[in-house]
Amino acid sequence: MRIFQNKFFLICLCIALVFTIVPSVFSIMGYRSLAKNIVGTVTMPVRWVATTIGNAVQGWGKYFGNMKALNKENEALIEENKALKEQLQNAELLERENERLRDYLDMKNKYPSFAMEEGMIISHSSGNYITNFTLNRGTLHGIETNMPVITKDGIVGYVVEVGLNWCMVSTLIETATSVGAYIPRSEVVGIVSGDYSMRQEGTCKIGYIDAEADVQVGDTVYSSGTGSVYPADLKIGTVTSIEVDEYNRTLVATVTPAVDFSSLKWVMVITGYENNSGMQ
Amino acid sequence: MLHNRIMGFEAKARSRLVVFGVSLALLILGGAVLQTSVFGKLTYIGAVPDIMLCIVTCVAYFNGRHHGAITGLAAGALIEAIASSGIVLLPLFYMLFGYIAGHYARAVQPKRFVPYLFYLMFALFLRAGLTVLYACLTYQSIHLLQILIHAVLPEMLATALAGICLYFPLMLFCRKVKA
Repeated sequence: MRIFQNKFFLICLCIALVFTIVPSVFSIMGYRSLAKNIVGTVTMPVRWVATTIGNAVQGWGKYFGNMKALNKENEALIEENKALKEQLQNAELLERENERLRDYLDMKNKYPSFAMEEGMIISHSSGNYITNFTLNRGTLHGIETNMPVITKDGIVGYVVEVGLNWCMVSTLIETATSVGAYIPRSEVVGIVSGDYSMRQEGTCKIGYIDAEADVQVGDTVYSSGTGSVYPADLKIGTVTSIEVDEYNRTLVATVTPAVDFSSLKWVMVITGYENNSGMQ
Repeated sequence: MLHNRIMGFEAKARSRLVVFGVSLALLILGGAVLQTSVFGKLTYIGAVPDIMLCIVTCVAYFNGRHHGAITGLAAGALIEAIASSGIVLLPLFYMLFGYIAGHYARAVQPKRFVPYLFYLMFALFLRAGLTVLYACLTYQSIHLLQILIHAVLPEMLATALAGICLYFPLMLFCRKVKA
C-alpha cells in the first residue's frame, strides 16, 4: 500500500519496533528496563501529586455520593439512641426499684416478726425544715394511728393521722415526738425527743440521763421498746454532743438521726409486731 | 535577500517544530499522569479510560499523519514506561493508528465533531482487540465473554466518554500547535 511506502513511516515503524521488541525481550528475560527506571524515577513526583489529588477527589466524591446513605444512617442512629436512652432510663428505674425491694427484703429478714406496709412519701409539710410528711397508704392498707414508721437505716417517726388512702407521719425530730431509748455500750436509758431549736438543724436530744452516766460522743442510740409505739432495738441515731444540766443534775446529748430525712422517698409502716411484753 | 527569506522560513519551521515537541511532551506527560494516577483511583463504569488513545486520535485527526505517528510513538513509549505489564505493544499500536488515522483524516474538511466520533469509534474497536490480545497473552485460560463484559466494554465506554470530553480542549491545543 502506498501510504506505507514512505520514508517517514518506515523510520517511525523501526523506532516503534525497537520500543516494542527490546522492552518485551528484557521483560521476558527478567531484566529491568533502564528506560523504564529513568522514566519512572523522573515522573514519580508528578505521579505522587496526581495520586494525592485523585485520592482527595475520590474522598470528596465518596462523601457527597454517600450523603444520602449517611443521612439515613444518621436518622437510624438517632432513633436507636433515643430507644437506648429510654431503655437506660427504664433500667435506672428498675435498678432503684430493685434496690428498694432488696432493702425491704433485708428488713423482712432482720425483723421477721414485723408486719410492714411500704409507703411512698407524696408530700411534705411546709416549713423551714421537713418534719412531717404524708404517705400514700391509709386505712385501706391496714394503717392506723401510732404505728411506727422506719427505714433500713432506723426510726423515721410514727403515724399521727390517717385517712382512707393516706396517712401523716410525724418524724423523730418533731417536738411532740418522744421515744424510749438506750445506749447498748453502757446500758444507759433515756428518752429521745424533738426540740424546736434542734429541729431546724435536723437533730434531736436524748434526756433524762443521770449526769454521772457513761455517755460518749459516737454512741449509737436504739429504741428501748418502752411505750406502746416503737418496738425495741430499732436504731435511732448517734450521739454527736453532750451537755450537763447543772441545775437538774442531768445529762442532755444531741442525737443525729440515722435516717436522712432530706432524701427520704420510701418508708415502711410497721402494722404489727411482737414486743418484749408480747404486745402486738 | 532570498537567502535571508529562506533562512527565516527555516528558522520559523524549526521553532514551530520545537514548540510542537515541547507542547506534545507536556501533553503526553499530563495525559499519562492522569491515566495512571488520577483515573487509576477514580474509575468510572468500572474501567480506566485510555486517555493516551484519545490524545493520539485528536492529534492525528486535526494535525495529520506525521503528527499522529509521532504522538502515538511517544504516547505508547511513555505509558509503557510508566505502567507496563511486561508485554509492550502500545508504541507500535499507537504509532500505526496515529499514522493511518492522520492519513485518512486529511480528506475530512472541515474538521467537525461527528467525523471525529467515527475515528474515535475505530480507535476504540482496535483498542478492544488489543485488550483481548493482552488477555490471551497474559492468562492461560480465558473466557472471551467474561473479558468482553468485565474488561473490554467498560474500557470502551470509559474511553469514549473521555474522548468526547477531551475533544474541545485537544482541538484548541492542536490548532495552537499547528499554527
